[in-house]
Amino acid sequence: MTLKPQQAEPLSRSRPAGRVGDKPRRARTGRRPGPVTLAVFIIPALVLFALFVLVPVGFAGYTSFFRWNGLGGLPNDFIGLDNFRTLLADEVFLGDLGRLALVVGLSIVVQLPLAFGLAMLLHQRFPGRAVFRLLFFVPYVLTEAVTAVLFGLIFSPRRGFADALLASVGVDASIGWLSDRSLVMFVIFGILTWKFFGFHMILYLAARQNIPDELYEAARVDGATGPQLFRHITIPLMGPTVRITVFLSVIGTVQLFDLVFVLTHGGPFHASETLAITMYEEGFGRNQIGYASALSIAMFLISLVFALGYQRLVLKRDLQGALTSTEGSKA
Amino acid sequence: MSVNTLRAKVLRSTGLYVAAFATLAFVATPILFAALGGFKDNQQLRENAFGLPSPWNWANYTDVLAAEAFWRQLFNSVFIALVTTFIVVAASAMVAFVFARYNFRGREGLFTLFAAGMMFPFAVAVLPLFIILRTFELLNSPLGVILPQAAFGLPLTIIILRSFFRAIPGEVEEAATIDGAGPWRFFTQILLPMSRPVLATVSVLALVGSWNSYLLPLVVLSRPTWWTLPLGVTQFQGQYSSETAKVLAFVMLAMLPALIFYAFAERHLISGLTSGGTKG
Amino acid sequence: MRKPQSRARAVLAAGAAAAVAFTATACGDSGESTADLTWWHIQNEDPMKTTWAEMADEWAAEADLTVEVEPIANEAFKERLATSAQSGTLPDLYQTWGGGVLAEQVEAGLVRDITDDVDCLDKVNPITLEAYTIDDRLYAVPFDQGVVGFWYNMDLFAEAGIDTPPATWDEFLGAVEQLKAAGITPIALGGADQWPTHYYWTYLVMRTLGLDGLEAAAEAGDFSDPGFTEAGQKLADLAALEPFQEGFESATYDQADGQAALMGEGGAAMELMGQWAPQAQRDNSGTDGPGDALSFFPFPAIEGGAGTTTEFLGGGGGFAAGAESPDEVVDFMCFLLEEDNQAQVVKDGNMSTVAADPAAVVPDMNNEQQLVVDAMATATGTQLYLDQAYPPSIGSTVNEASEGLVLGEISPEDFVAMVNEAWAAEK
Repeated sequence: MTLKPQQAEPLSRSRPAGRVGDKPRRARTGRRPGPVTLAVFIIPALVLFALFVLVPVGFAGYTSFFRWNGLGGLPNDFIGLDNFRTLLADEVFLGDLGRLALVVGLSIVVQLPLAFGLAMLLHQRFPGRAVFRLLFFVPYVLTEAVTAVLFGLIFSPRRGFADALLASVGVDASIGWLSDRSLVMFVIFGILTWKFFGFHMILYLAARQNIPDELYEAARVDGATGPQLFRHITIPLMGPTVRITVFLSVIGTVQLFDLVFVLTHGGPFHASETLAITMYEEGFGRNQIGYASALSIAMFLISLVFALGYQRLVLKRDLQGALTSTEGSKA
Repeated sequence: MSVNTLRAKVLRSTGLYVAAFATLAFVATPILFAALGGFKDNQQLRENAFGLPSPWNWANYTDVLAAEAFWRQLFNSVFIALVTTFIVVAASAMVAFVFARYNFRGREGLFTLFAAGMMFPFAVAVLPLFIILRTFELLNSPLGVILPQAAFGLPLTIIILRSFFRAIPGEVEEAATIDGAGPWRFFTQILLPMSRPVLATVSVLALVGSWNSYLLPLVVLSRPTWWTLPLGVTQFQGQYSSETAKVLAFVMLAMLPALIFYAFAERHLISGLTSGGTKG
Repeated sequence: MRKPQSRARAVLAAGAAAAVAFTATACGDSGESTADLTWWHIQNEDPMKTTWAEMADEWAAEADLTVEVEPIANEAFKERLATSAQSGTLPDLYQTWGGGVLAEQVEAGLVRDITDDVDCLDKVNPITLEAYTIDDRLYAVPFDQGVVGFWYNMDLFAEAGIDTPPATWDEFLGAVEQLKAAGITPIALGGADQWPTHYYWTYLVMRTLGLDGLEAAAEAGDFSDPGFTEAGQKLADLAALEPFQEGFESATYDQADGQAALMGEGGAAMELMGQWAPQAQRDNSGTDGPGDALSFFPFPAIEGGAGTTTEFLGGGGGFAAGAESPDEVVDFMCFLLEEDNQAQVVKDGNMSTVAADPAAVVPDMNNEQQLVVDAMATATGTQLYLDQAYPPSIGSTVNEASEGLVLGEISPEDFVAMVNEAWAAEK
C-alpha cells in the first residue's frame, strides 16, 4: 500500500514528448500516457479495491454454496443452493424483509415529507434561520452506536427518561418502548427519523436554493398563487433530489445495523431484527458462515435489483448524483 | 388591508418559529438529557429527570476523563480515521486523476467497476472480509479496520474527485506541459493544490465515515487494545450497568469530538453531502 | 527539475512517509497486546474486578511477567469470544463454561490441553472438572461451581401469604397467582438475553423426562419425545399467567433495569438463576439486595414426571488457556486455585468453592453460599446449562426458542421442530 512518489516522476518522464501539439479542447481526454505511468496511478486504488471489496464479495458468493462453520481451512461441504432454499423459507429472513418494507414505507410517508417541510421552512428568511439549520443537522453527525446507547437509556423501562417525560404531562403509563413487539419498530423508526431527517433536509434545502428566484417572479407576474408556485415550480424542480433521497433512504435501510444492534440486538424475538443483524447472528453467533454468506448475497441482490430497477424506472439520468452520496445516508 | 397583511405576517412568522422551536426541542432533548444527566446521580435521574442537576455532580465526567481507556479509545478513533482518510484520498486522487484527464483503453470499464462498488453494502462484505483479514493476520490490528474502510471509501471519493478534476480547464495542463511538467508533477504541484476545497470535502466525508464505523471494528478488534470510541461506549455501558449517570457522561464525552468537529467543518461536510444529492 | 520541491508536494511526500511509518508501527504492534499473558473474565464489577486484578499483579510480579486483565460484561464477552474463536486465536486465559462450546474450540485446535501440566488439582472437587473434560483430556480449571434454582425474597413471599416455598409445579403456579394477587411481580426475567429463559425450559424437561431422558435425547440428537412438548407446554402455561415484570421482553440479565437489578431492589419475588445471583443483585442494583430475606429453593417437581428435585441444572466458571498461551499460564491457573486465593474469591465474589473440602477453604460461609453448598450436597445429578453443553448452533437455538415460547411466538411443537432441525444440521 506504500506510495512511491519519488519513482513515479523519472518513469513518467521517459515517455516521448510531443503532446504539446494536441488541441486544448481534446487535451482533457486525448492523451495517452505510458502504461507505467498509468499503472503507478491506478494500482494503489485498484489493489485496495480488489483485495478488500471485490474479493470479499466474490468470496461471499462462493461460500454461500457451502455448509461451513468458518473455523479454519476452506469450505468443503458443497450443498448447492440449499442455503438459499432455507433462506426463502426462513421466517426471520422474511420478517426482516417485512420490517425493511415497513421502515422504507414510513420513511417515504413520514420522514422525508417532514424533512421536506423543514427545508421549505428554513428556506424562508427569518432571524435565527442559520442557527436552526446548524442545530437540526447535529443528530446526523453523531455516531449511530453512541446514539443507540443514549436512546437505550431514554427508553429504559424503569429509570427511563421517556416515561418520566410522559408522566410530566400527566400520562402515567409505563410503555414498553422496546419490549412491546408491535411498538419497537416504530420507536426505532422514530430514532432513525431523529437521526437522519437533518441529512435529507439539507439536501432538499440545497436543491430549493438552486431554483432561481426569477422563475417564481415570472410566474407571479403571470398571476400564479402560492400553492400553484409550489405545485408547478418547486415540486417538479426538486423532483430529482426527492427521487435521490428516496433511493438513499432505501439503500441505507437495507444496511441498517449499528443502531438496532446496540439498542435491541434485534429483539424481542426478532421483532426489530434487520437483514444485517440476522447475518451477524448466524455468522458469528452460530458459526453458520455459509448460511450467513447466502444472506449477505441476498442483501446484495436486493440492493442491486432495487438500484437497477429504480434507476431504470425512476432515476434515469440522476444516477450519477445518486452514486455520489450513498455513503452519507441511512434510512 | 395593511392590518390584514400585518396580521398575516405576524401569524406566518409565529408559525415559522413554533415549527422551528418544536423541531429544535425534538432534536435537542435527548442530547440535553445526556449532557445534564451526566451531572446527576442515579437518584436525581429518577426523581429529577428534567431539572438542572442539584447539586452538580462532576465526578461522572471527571472519572471518565481520568480513565486511561477513554483517551486510548479517543486516540484510536482519531488515528484510524486519519490514516484511513489519508489512504483513501491519496489513492482516489491518483486514480481519479487519470480517469479524468487521460484516455486509455479500459478506462470506462475500470471506472464503472469502481463506481459499482457503491452498490456493495458494507455488511455484505463483512463476513468474508473477516476471513480474509484472518488469513492476512490483520485481525486485532488497526490496519484490519483501516484498509477495508479505505477500500469501501474509494468509489464515492473517486466519483467526486473525478468530476472535479475534469472541470479543471485543459489550458492549465497545457501550460504545465509546456513548462516540461510530467503527469506526476502536474498532479502534485498544480492539480492537487488547485483542488484543495474538494480534497477537504472528501477528507471530511472519509473522516466522518471512519469515526462512525461500528460493525467492522466490532468484528475485527476483539481485543481492547485498539478499540475505538463506538466500541468503547457499548463496552462501558455493559461495565457500569448500574451507574446510568456515568454512562451518560461517557456518551456525552464520546459525542463531543464529533460536535466540535462539526462546528468547524460544517461547510465541508454539508458541501460533501450535497455535492451529489442535488445533481440531476 | 531544479526547482525546490513545492509545498504541496513536500506535504504529500511527508504524508506518505508518515502513513508508511504509522502502518509499520501499527503492523508491528498488530494489536496483540504487549503483555506476556492476556486474561479475559466476566467479573466486570467490583469487588471481583479489583480482586482479580490484584491477584494478576501479584503473580505477575513473582513470575516476572506482565499480565493484561480484561474484564468484559457477560453478553459482550460471549460475542467477543465467538469472533475471537473465528479469528483463529483465543486469549491466553479466558472464562469458559465448558461443554459443547469449549469442545468446538478444542476441535478447532484453539485450546491448550492442560491434562499433563496441571499438578494442583488434588484438592479440587473432581465433579467440578467434568464440564472441562473432553475425551478424557482436561482443558480448564474451575473457580466456581454451583447450581441453578429459585432465589426468592422471603419478605415478599410472606407478604403474599406464602409460608413454604413451592415443592411441586402446581404449587409453584399457585404461588405465582398468589403473588400477583398481592400486587407483587412474581418473577424477574431478563428476556432479551434468552439464556435466563432457557433455564425454565431445561428444568421443565429435566423434571418431565429425568436427567437420563434428556441426556439420551441429546446423545441421539433428537428431541421428538413427547416429554419435550409437554415441558414446553408447561412453560407456555406459566408465561400465560404473565408472571414476569413489565418490559421483561427487552430486559437483560445484568444491565440497567435488568433481572438482577430488579431482584436487588426488591421489585420482584423470585428469579431462576445460578449461584452468582445474590452478588449480581447487589452489583447491578447498586444496593445491598434483599439481604437476609433472600433464600433458595430447588426447581419444583412435576407430578408424574421422571425427574426429581435433587437433579440440578448447574455449572460454574472455569478458565481455559488459548493454544498460543505461554507455558507459564498453567502456573497462573494453579496460583488462582491456591487456597488463600480461592477463599478470597469466595469472600469477594460470593462464589461457590470448588474445593473438595469446602470447609477447609471457607470455614465461615455466608448464608447464600451455604444455601448453594447445601443444595449441591443433595444433588444426585447435574446437567450443564444447555447453551454451553451443546454446540453453539444448538445452544443458541434452544435459547432463541425459549424466548419465542415465552413470548407466545412459537408453540411447544415449533420449539421441538427448531431444535431437531438444528441437530440435523449439526450431524
